[in-house]
Amino acid sequence: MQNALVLQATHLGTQQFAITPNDKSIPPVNMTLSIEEPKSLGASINSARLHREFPDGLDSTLYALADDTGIPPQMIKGQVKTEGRGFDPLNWRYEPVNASIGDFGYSTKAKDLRMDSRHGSSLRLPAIGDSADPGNCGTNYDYKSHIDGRIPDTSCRGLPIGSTFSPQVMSDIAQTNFTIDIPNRDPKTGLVLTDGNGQPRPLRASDRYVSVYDVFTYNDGVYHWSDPSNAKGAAAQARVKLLKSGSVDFTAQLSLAASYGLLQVMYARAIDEGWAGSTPGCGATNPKDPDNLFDTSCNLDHGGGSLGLGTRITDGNFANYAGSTNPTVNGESDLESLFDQAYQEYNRNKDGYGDHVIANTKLYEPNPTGSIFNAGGQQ
Amino acid sequence: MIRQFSLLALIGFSLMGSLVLSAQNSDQTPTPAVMQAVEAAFPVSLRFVPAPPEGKGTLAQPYHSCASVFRTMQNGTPDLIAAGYSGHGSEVAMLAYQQGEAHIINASPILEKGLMDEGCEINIVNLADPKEPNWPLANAIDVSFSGGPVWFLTWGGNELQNITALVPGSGLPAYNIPPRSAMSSGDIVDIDHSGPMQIVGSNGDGDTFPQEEDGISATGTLTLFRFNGTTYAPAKRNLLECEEYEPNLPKTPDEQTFYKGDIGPWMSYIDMHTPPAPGYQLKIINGDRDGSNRVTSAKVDINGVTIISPTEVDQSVETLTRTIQLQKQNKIKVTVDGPAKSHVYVTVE
Repeated sequence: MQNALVLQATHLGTQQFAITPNDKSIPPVNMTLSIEEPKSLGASINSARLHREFPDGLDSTLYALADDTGIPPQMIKGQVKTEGRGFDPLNWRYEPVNASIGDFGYSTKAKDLRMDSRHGSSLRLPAIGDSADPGNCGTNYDYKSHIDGRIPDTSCRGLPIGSTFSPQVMSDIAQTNFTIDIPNRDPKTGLVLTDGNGQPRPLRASDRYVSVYDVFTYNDGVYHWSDPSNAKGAAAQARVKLLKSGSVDFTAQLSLAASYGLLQVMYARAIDEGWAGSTPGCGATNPKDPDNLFDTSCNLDHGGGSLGLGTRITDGNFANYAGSTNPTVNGESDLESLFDQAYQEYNRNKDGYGDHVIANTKLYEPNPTGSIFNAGGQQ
Repeated sequence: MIRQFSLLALIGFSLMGSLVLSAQNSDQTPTPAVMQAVEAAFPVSLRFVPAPPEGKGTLAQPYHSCASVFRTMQNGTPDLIAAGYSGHGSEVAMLAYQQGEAHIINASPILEKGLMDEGCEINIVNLADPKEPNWPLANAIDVSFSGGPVWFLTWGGNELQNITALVPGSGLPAYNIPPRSAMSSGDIVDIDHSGPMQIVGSNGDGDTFPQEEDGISATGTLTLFRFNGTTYAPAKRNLLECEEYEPNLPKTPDEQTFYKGDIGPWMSYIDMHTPPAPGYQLKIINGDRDGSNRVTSAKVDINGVTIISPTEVDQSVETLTRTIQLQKQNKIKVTVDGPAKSHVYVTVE
């Protein structure tokens, strides 16, 4: 027999309740609990890019995701705050050394990603040594010898940055805050051009054979990839050491080894987990096609981009920790703790990530559309 | 609770006198046959594979194991294998290996829970005071699961001992969620030059949570962990820098260009969102504690100003400390010369 019951709304809709008093002389009361969309989540976000991509505001999109996954919308918004820079749907971040799916994780294996069964032919990101290369560099391609001096074998085709992506995506990338500098190099010697004082210049869409060593060397002072906060653990620090020493180099796969959007999902994970769902849209012809992963209103309608995928990943993490997608939880504190664990798992190599998401959640508590009970009291 | 296995009695230990522990040896990599035996011993309790909810993708590799040779016989045959098992949960196990089969002698409790598709890395490392080469710390197990936090365990002959610093108050016993490791990264250092080796871990408080309004991607702080006789415990929480440098004079034209431009391996960065207080200490720790592997010169520039000149450091200098004034954004340039294997640590706290 319960004297109080605390409920957490997980989906929109109505639920019937019967309250049966202990005092049998009082008749049971039937009531209908209605879960409705809030008016808003915390204060409004002042972001021009966000408003361009979501003219009606982000909150209404979050309500649909919250209803779909059962994750409270203020928590989704709290995670966006934690992940993104200024709620920028076009946020894009290159990951050269992270644990498993950064550039090191792929490129040093010298794999032809188009032959990787996980990704299929839809990836369309040619790299030096690609067996599908018209220069027939072949499967015996020696990565290191061709990169020595950073002069590519011109008969091989390097990674044409972004050229295989749709114009819309290239346009989106061009508008991001994430800029990468690379050096001007003599095309014959591969040496940094000293007449330009060796100063870097911004990466251009037409650049080819961009060296991961160059990207790392010229931009670490801005993005701090080598900082232990980002390159965690012995393996990542070993990769940093290799890059710093210049003893390993390869063509940077900037698009593949990057994370995107409001929840900063890595491209490879998005592809692996079928970000676009079974019916891709927005120009994609294959559920694994990475085109249009950026968070646009279009891809949200067709699977959710990083926002939809990231929320579903958190949903899965929560179920793993709580033991069920709909667990019985001992109070609000435990619920927050379970979500804390689920968010920590989402970004497990960043300490305090879960705590930070939960703290940000408090900034976006739902603003109700009206009073809980109709004016005039009980009906 | 540590799980015990009765198979221990089946394994002969009469060869103890002719066994070789791994931290002092170079190759800890198991052969494919050993790895296969380790895989075959994967604990069933960890093999739980959560079915992906409909429309939420597939799990390509639901569980993983990693292993390192912990001990060999004199003929080089592996005898004890330290393994990391990562499935729905993760644990570390010590296995006896004999005639192509591996059997778990002892396993740690579940270290992490809820992993869905995580690999692991495991190594045998020497954390002991060089005066105590027979301590269990001399052959400690260093393991992490998919780039997550680091765990350190020792082997006492019968059971594994977890010596990892844990996050106070973490874990949810009611939901069988274990406490988290506080060692989000774990670089083994010897900046004390006394006692057991120290461990430096990131506090993850840098660019993880950028404050984009000030245009700065801040770098993180570090915690220094020292062994207290039972476990590693936080000793200093506010290190801004702890970097090891080997001889690095620029030689090639590219290196010289980079060097002049303050770009490349000489550089490290300390960036903050707020102006730093005065009175930070920069310290150089030269070489090993026995006086070996010291550099012949070291130069430190901060934001273009030389703080330590090359002539101030030679092989007679063990440590050198300077009080420095940091700015919101700082470029630290360390130039080192000396024989092969010589090295310095540079710390800022």
